[in-house]
Amino acid sequence: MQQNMQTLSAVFQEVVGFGGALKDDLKPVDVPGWDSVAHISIVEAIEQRFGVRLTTEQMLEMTSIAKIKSVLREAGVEF
Amino acid sequence: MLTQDPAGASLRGLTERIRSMSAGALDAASVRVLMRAALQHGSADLARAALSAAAKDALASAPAIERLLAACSAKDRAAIERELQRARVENYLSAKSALVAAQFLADAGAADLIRGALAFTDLSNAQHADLARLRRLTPKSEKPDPKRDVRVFVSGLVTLDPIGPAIEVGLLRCGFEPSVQIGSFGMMHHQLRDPMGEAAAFKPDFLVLGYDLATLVPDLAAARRNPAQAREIIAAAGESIGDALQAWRQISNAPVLLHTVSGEALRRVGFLDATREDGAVSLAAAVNRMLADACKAVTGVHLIDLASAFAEMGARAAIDDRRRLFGRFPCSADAFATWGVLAADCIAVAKRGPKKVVVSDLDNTMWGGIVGDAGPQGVEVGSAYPGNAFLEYQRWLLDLRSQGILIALCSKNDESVALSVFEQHGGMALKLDEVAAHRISWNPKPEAISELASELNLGLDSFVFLDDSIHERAAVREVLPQVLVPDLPDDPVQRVAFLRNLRELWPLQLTSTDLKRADEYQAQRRRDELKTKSGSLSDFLMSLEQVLTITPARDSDWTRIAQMHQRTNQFNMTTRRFDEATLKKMHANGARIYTGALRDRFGDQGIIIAAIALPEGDAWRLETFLMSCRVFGRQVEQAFTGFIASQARAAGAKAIRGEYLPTERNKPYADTFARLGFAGPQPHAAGDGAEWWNLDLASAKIEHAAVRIEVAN
Repeated sequence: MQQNMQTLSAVFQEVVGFGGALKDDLKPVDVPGWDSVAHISIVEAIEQRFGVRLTTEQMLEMTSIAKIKSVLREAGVEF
Repeated sequence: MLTQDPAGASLRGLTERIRSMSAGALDAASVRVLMRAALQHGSADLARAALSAAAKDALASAPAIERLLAACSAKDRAAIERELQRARVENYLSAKSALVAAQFLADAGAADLIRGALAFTDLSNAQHADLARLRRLTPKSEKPDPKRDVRVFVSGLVTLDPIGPAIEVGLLRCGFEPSVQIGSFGMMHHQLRDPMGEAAAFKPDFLVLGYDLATLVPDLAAARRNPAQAREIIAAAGESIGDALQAWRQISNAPVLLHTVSGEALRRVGFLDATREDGAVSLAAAVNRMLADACKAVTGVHLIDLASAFAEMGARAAIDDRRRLFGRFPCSADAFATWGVLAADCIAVAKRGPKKVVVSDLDNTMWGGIVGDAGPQGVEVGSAYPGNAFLEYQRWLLDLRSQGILIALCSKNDESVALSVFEQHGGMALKLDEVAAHRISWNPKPEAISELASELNLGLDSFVFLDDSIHERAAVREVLPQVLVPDLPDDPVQRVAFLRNLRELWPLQLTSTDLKRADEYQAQRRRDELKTKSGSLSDFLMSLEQVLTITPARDSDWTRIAQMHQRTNQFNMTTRRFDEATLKKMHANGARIYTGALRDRFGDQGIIIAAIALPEGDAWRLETFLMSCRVFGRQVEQAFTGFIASQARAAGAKAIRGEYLPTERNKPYADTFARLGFAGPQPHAAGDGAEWWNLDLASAKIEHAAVRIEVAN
């Protein structure tokens, strides 16, 4: 679980250069560069790193760290 | 996949585990994590283990990166610079290796060296995420240089944001300092037409347009079943884009990059998509023809073949329906990487012109085997494998030659033995008289290439060197860093596909002078033979029977004159480069623009000299004076200046003023004004290093007995 959090951190570091802590209530407005264009890149990086394929509906739900974790739990990734 | 930094205590265990893995077992991300751990804990063993287990595409040049890592972890700047230089000489980096190197350099406080690493990075298969990270890691240049600044505005009908970092890294790789701005979504037609709009306000050097078939010709999908209506719709779209390009030309001279579109989105009817007029294949071809016509109608508009680039990466990888339908992206993230790098390469050729000479090795490059061992008839070249791979290579060289690029040979061999292959081997496609120059001896190749440069009278930075030997390539990269030395694939069957993608050899336009250039060099060889036979230089010049045809510039010449501004480096008064649109504007504002075409008893050299003079008060001021270096020392500049002097005199001018602005490359121009009888240099206040010279028309007399002048109308 710890490892999966680190993977998620790596995604934010690599896609938008965000190195801060990924608190559950962190939202796009809190992260510079997490706009709608970057969002799709974040989702693609998550899919690649965790080896999952998400639907477009799920992609749209992922608007905070807590919601990202919940979508990934649905897809079988432990958090 | 490994994603966690190992703790120091378990380092040895981890190193052992990775050592036991097979080569290729680790992906790029894992290698990165391990390399960072190795850096953090100073463990060269771990770094070595990780590199040996890395997938090939993760690290193309592992040993170089490994040594770089050691230098970075010691934070030894001199060693870092040395290792980068060594890496440059040995190999090209893949984008992934460049990213690892960039990360190390940034961590070692040497981020300013990242640009140097990018210069020898191959971005052709780069992934978008890697380019975006490379962009973030590369700091702004500390030494601003306006000559390197390139401003690019991206305007389109679709979401284009991801192309930004790809264009930027592509331009950084070519040594430029990019600023890219993405215009507001979907406003292309507006931005091209509005003199006060976003695109105009950005003052771009280049405009990159982006769209897909559905947005460029929106009604086509619905109307496709009616061929006549489909044709009308395509023609209307062509008119609309043509008008927009014309409007942009009124606003700015910045060149525009259009692109071909893929027909994937129009596939509907399976097998019949390839046969019917309303099938995807025909419709896409019609739209791309429309784009090609739009390009030809306006100066400075280029069409990059994005559809082919996407086809090469595979439609499934290039088109991403989630991105397309949800975010209006025309393509996948990685396709944006391909597109941006292609656009950057096109901009680099537009700024610098394509390379002019390809120097090829012979044994195992031009043909298979070693002529010294196998004999002139025993080397492999012909219609069957393995000779056919070399035959295709020769045909590729001949295609380049027909586009005005010169072919030269450089081989370590006995000259007579090597050349006998051209005479005795029936399978050779390349003939010796199609070769502009050769150096076949046992001398070091960097030396031989320098000699070829002086024989052909061309700068080393216009040379490409192809050799199967990594040692010869390294030697040339070490001694002649200006020469482009690609990593020719070891397997001859892979070489032509690789070379076809060498965009430094892709011209953006071809003039009739380009098409004749290679033949002209043959005539030059015959001139040189005559020169050695003639008693004196003046006898030789007289015997050439030279005629210079001078033409006040007409519409059809702009392309050639603009191209001369691009290509002429040595005999060029200022090396200021004017494009077609600027030339037309200067002409409309009263500038006198002259060109001269030279012919002699050996052939026609086409337009080889040009000048722009601006009447200012009672003098004419030269804005441009340039000449092809092929006609150095033939009294051409004397004849041409004499003609301009007579024109100026007739217009009532008292003097001609000229400015020599020395740069790194135009030193051969330095004594020109003095030789032509100009007085100077005069003291000046500008402080830009320019020398001002003055030709007094009352007393000027310029001799050119060996050149007869004809004036065309």
